[in-house]
Formats: sequence, structure tokens, C-alpha cells
Amino acid sequence: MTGLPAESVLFSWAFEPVPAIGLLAAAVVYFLGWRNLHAQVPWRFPVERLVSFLGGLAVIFVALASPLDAFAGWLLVVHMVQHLLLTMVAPPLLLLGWPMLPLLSGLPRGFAREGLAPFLTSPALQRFGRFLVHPFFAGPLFIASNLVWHTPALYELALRFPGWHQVEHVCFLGTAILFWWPVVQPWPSRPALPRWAMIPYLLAADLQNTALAAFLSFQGGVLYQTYALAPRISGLSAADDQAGAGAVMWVPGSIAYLIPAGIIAMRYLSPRRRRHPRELQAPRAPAPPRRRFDLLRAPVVGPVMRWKYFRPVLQSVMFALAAAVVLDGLFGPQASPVNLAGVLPWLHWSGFSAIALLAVGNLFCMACPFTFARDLGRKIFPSTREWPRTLRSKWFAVALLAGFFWAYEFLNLWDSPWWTAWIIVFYFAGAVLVDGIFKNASYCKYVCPIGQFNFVASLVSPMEVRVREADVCASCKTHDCIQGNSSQRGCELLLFQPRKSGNMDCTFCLDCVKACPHDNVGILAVAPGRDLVADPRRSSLGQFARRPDIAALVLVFVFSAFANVAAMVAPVRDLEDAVRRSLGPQTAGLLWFVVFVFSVVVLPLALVRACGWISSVGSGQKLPSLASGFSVALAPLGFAMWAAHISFHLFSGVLTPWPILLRIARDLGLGTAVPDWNVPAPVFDGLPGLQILFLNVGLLFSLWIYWRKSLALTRRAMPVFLPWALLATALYAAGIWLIFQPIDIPGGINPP
Amino acid sequence: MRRLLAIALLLAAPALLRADGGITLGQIDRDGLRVTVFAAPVPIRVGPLDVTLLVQEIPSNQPVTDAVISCSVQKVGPPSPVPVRLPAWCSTIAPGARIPATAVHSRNKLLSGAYLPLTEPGSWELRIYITRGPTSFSASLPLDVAAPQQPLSTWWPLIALVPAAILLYVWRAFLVREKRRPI
Repeated sequence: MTGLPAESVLFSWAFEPVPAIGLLAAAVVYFLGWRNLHAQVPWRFPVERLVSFLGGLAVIFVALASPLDAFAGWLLVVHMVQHLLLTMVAPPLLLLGWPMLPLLSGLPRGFAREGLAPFLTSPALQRFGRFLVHPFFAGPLFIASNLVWHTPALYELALRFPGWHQVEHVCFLGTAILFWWPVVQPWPSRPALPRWAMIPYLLAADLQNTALAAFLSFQGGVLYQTYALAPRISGLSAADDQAGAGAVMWVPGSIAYLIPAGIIAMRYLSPRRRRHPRELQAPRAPAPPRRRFDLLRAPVVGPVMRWKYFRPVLQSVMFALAAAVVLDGLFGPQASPVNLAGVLPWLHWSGFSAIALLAVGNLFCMACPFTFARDLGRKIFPSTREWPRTLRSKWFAVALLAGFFWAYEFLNLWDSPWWTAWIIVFYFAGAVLVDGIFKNASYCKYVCPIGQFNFVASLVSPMEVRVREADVCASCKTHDCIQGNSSQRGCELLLFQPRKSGNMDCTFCLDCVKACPHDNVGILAVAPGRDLVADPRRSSLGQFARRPDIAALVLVFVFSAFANVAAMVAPVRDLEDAVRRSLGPQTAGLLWFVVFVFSVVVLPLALVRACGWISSVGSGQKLPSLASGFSVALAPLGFAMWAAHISFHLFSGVLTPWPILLRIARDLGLGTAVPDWNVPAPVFDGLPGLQILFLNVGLLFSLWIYWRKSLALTRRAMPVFLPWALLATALYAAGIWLIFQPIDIPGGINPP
Repeated sequence: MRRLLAIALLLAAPALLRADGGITLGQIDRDGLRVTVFAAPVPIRVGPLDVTLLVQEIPSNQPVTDAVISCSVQKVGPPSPVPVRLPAWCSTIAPGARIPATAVHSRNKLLSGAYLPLTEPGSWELRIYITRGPTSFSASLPLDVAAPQQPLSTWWPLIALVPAAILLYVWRAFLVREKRRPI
């Protein structure tokens, strides 16, 4: 490509999140498994295997994300290189990594054992697997795929439609993996044919390759119209380009078949290799102990999180941000998109909190600026009283959370920097006042709506603050984790670590971690939702089945997720406008208040009662405990809806603070840069797909919990399961419909 | 069976990759420059239109990367009688705005790209503005915009993952029961 701007060509990389994450996940799973196996049988899994597998993944990434892909639509020769990488380089490299055992060993043990083992040990599926990689099937399939995709009709289809191009790549890669399987024969698979049979097998493939390459090279005319019409950016004519593509297919393609054929022939003719003495004599090393992942023992992150001042520093940063939001909200321009109070709390705080909840747990409460102010206030206020016994439940918090959602929708909080600022001020005042009067973290446990939201959402988080070794706690006499000691307070939310289960009421404050004299509390990886299925007796909370207040909290959380989105989509907005026009603003406001109460309070109660009644008839269980216990299982679906919704706002407004900061600097006389309000919104066109995936995971998660809970109640689980499954599916369908509707953006995109 | 798992894992990684695509809308030769305009999706539908432009010098075909390019879309003729709801992500772009086309928005960095909102089906006009040094010109190309695809027809494969996962779970339960059955 002489004369082309090299910089433009070399920087023509694409970052597609889904395949990049897929390849990275495959690399991580393989590495974790390889590490275990390398420790046990290093002669079978040397470093070369790791390098080979990771190299194969890297080749796939280069083929699909590098300039090769960007220019494949203009130059057939580049497209051919891309396809050769996918069919002749990546598959053998992947298979030389002997990927089966490392991939299995690298997956979470429970998933591998419970989810995959029944399939892997099924004789019928094993037979099917052997059939797929049998040379008599894999060889013809690979050749057919190559020939069929090179016919002009299908090749043009792939060039014109991205979806078909994906199908083409999947066919090439998939059939190539099957083709190369008997050639590489990754351990512990066994060959279906004698080793010498691989020589004619490879030569047959080379014959097809040569014939196709010769056809491309000598065909004369341009076979694919797209390349005839493509802009000529190099000295190559379309016919030369096609001949070059044929040459690439011919020479490097043939080499890729002939080298392994030669190696196999040489090995076959050489004296039989003796097994390495280590393989014969060395006993298999014991498997290294598999510990749960502990965030506090992770490199770099662990020491930072255990640092004495980590939380105060985090909180003071959030406190400074909250102060900036309040000041701008009170004194800045009262237009949501150009004010920090219209952007940071509603787009960024919610978005990053959701990401933290998905990746770790309740990190917002860890960084809570309100408890930072409370701790400062405690130096003045005595906090000697006990929280009133009648209020020691979640009912007050349920009412506050519902009220918060109502205010958000009907006072248009997101569109009022002034009100947003005052709410934050009220929050600070509430935290200081309540915890200045009452002992412990009464505000967090019984009042704070944001805290309750995070508690429910974190029920599905993958990490928990919990004990590392139960035996250590059994011999502990001091119980510092809850009682504290002279240098560190214990858990203010009254969660006794040995009997704590799940994330409900846990603020990730790490007081228990610091108080434990045995260093026996960490932030451990857990199977998400585990305690929703088992519903054990939890410290300070008991069983969810006996806590209708917690069930109500979850229901408000879940149904508000759907109501919150519904209030922003065009059909509901249109209806709202029509009602306002016909009834007048005051009557319409009252009507919409009634609708809100119905959708967030009355409807969930009625549905849960109906489902509970049907289930109780089927199981003989008491209605209240059944309804409470099963309501909580909707939390994953509710969080999925929140995540789907919040992700849209985050992606559409993530860059909005920058011009606002420039505006503030200008207002304060600290800068002269003129803010450019035309902020790009990185809403990628696959975003609805991501939102649907969130909902899919949420629904499947809730259904799985329902099924397991139903099975735990009775052997005839279906009558118990069905009503709840229908409820969850109906909510899912509503969520899908909402995702497909146009939405009003709460500030940040097109400011006035 | 392990083979199946390994193959499935390996295939899952690149399965959702986007590839190059789109059609050549037209080619404009003006003031010593050749502008080739590409557009996706194919066919062009209501929603975000992905426009990319290649500017080359005539007659050397040398790609030009220092031109300032912008584009806009205008509806031609009467408004569509049937209101069309845009997908949610489309509402983040102001319709009718003159959007800068830059290499940031295109994968192929020889191209300049922009997303433009097409809000209703019918005849539209794509207008492009190009400035390079003292040379400055604009040109327009017709667009025939089809009605939007129903979201369900675009996204059904993802929704179908739910029943597929449930079927897999049921199958797994069947396999487990078969294994436990005494011989």
C-alpha cells in the first residue's frame, strides 16, 4: 500500500467489547486452569501450552480487530490473510494448548460440577463429540465450508451484511477447529484413525486449497463485485488483488498443511519416542488448595483496601464531590444538563454504583459521604439512645424508599439541580441527626433509602464480607467483630460475622475486618444468590421468609425499577400529557400519584398474594412465609432492570461533567476555556443487546432460585414454581417492551 | 464430551463480532478530489445512519486525511403520515444537525465517519461539506429510507437465549436423573 498514510492504516484497530471480553474471559479461564494443572503435572502442561493457547487467542484478536479487518472490504488479499489466520494459524495454536482440561479446571468448581458435568459425562454426547472431530466428518466439513463461502453469492452476502460476515467467520473458525483436532489430537482425546492417516487427510485439504487458489489466481475476471467497485487505495487493480489473494491462499496455505504432514511423516518413520522418566516415575503432585478469591488478599488492591485510612480517604473524596454538587445545585444555572447536580448524582453515581454492585458489592456505602459527616458529627453529639423498638424493622425504610422514587418521578428531581442539592443537604442532616441521637448505625440500617437500595441490589453481588475459616471463629471468645475493642469499633449494623450470610444490611465499612484479632474476615467471592436459595437464619436479620418488611423492600425495589423506566418512555409520556390536557394539571397529578401507588404498592402486593396463595395450595406451606421468602427471589430481576436502565443513562451521559467543570472554572474566574456542550454520547448500537442480556440473566437467576426453593419445599415442585415463574416472566416481558421504547434523556445530552 | 465444551468456549468468543459492511452510496469528483460515500445499514432504514467517506486526490488516488468533513440529513418531500418511533439510542442525536465526520467514528482510519439520525421513512438527502485548504465544496446524495425494523426482529436471538438456557437446564436435569436411575 505504497503512498498510504501509514499512521491511518496502523491505527485502524477496532475495539469491540463483546469479542474482546470473550477472548479475555477464555484467556483468564484457561490461565487459571493451566496454573492448577501445571502445579500437578508440569510435564503435561508446560509453559509452551499456555503460550500456544494465548497465542491462538491473540491471533483471533488480530484477525478480527486489527487493520486486517478494517481493510478486508477493500482488498481481497487482506481479506484472505484474515481468513488464513482464522483457519490455519489460530486453531492449531489453540489446540496445541490442550485446552479441554485447563478450561474445565479454570471454571468455578460448582458450575463445572453441577452445570457441565452431566453433559460431559453423557455417553450420547460423548459419542456426538467423537463424531464431530472424526476425520471422516471434520475434513469434508472444513473443505465444504471453504468452498461454499467462496462462491460469489455467499462471499458478497458476507461483505454486504455484518451479520453474515460474523456467520462466515464462525463457520471458518469452527470448522477449522474440528479439522485440526485429529491432526493435533489434544490430550486426553484419543485418535479415531492411525496417525499415518493424517498425512492423506492433510494432503486432501491441501488439494482443495490449491484448486481454489488456482481458480482465484487464473480466473481472469473479478469474481467478487464488491472488490471491483471498491475504491483503489493501492497500486493494485481489482484483478491483481484477486490474483494476489489466490497466491496468498496457495503458498502460505499449502505450507500450513504440508509442514504438519511432514512432521507427522518424520515422526512416524523415526524410532518410537521413549516416555520421559518423569512421566513414568514422578508421582502426581497434590492439587494446590483452592481458596476462595479474597479481594483483601488480592495483589495491590488488597493492601490498599486494608490501609487504615482507605475508607476515610474514599469518603472525603465523595464528601468533596457532594459539596461541589450542593454548591453548584444551589448557586449554579438551574438547567440540569449544565449543572453538576443534574448530572453527577443521577447519571454517574447511579451508574458506577451499579457497576460496583455487579463486580464486587456495596462499594457505594463503603464510600458513603453521609456517614463521613456523621462520624464527624459524633464528636459533638453523644448518640446514647437506642433506636425505638417499634421501628426496628424495614417498614419505615420501605416507606422512605417508595417516597424517594415518587419524588424522583413527580417532582422531576433529575431536572432540578436546586431540589437535588437540598435532598443531599437533608441527607447529611438526617445522617448527623439520627446517628447523633441513636446508637450504632441506625440511619443506615433503618432509614437511608439509598442504603436500602444498595442492600437489596447487593443480594446478587459476587462478593461478601465474611469469615475466611469457620473454625477460627468457633474458638473465638472475644467476638470483636461485633463488640469492637479498644482501638476499633465492631459492626454497627449488628451483623455477627460467624452467622452473617449474604449482603443484606452490610455497608462494606470493613470495621469487622479491622476489629477481628485473628485476621479472619475478608471480602470473599461467593456464588451470587446462594443465600437467597438456602435462606438461613442470619445474624440480626433472621430468615427472609419471616421478614415481610424485607419482602416489601424487595418488591418496592423491583416494581420501582419497571415504573421508573415506564415513566420515561414515550408511550407513557404521551399518555401522561393527554391526561394532563384533559383533566388539568392538579387532577392529573393526583391521578398519577394514585397510579404510582398502585404500581409500586398495590399491584405487587396483589400479585405476590395471588402467587403465594396458589403456591401454598400446592405445597401446604403457610401463605405469609411462602410469600415473603419467594418475593425476595425477584431481587435479581429487579436489579437487572435497574442495571439495564442505568447503563443507558451512563453511556449517554458519561462525558457530560467535563464541559460543566469548564463552565464552573469560568464562573469562578479560574479558567477561560469555553465549554463545548456538544458532548459525544458513546451510546453504541449494541446497547439494547447489553440491556437484554442484563434482563436475561436477571430472569434466569430468579427462575433458578424459584425452582430450587420449590424443590426444597416439596417433591411436586411445579405447582409451587409456576405462579412465581409466570410473575417473573411477565415482568421480563414488560422490561423488554420498555427497552424497545424511545426514552427521554434526563439531562446531559443536548443542553440548551 | 470435553471436546464439545472446548469447541463451544472457543466459538463463543468471536461469535458476536461486527464486520465491515455497508454499501457505496456514490462517488463525487470535484475540485481535484474524489469522495466515495459509504452507508450502513443495508438497506438504509429509519434510525442511526452510519455514514463514512473516503476522500482521495485525483488522479493519484492518494487518500486525504486532512480534510474537514461534516454531513447532515434533510427530509425531502412531505413528512411521513405514520409517526415512527426511533429506537432509544437514536434520541441522543439531534436530528438535522450538521455533524462533523471524523476518523474517530470509523474503524478504517482512512475514512471519516458520523452517525446521523433518520427519523422517518421516505426520501432524504444526505449533504456533505468538505474543506481542504482553500478548497471548499458541498454535495448531496439521495437516500431512500425504509421503515425501521421492529426491534424484536433485530434482537430476537438474544431473547431466544432464555428459552434455550431453560431447555439446557431441563436437559441437564434429565441427564442427572438418567444417571441416578438404578441399572
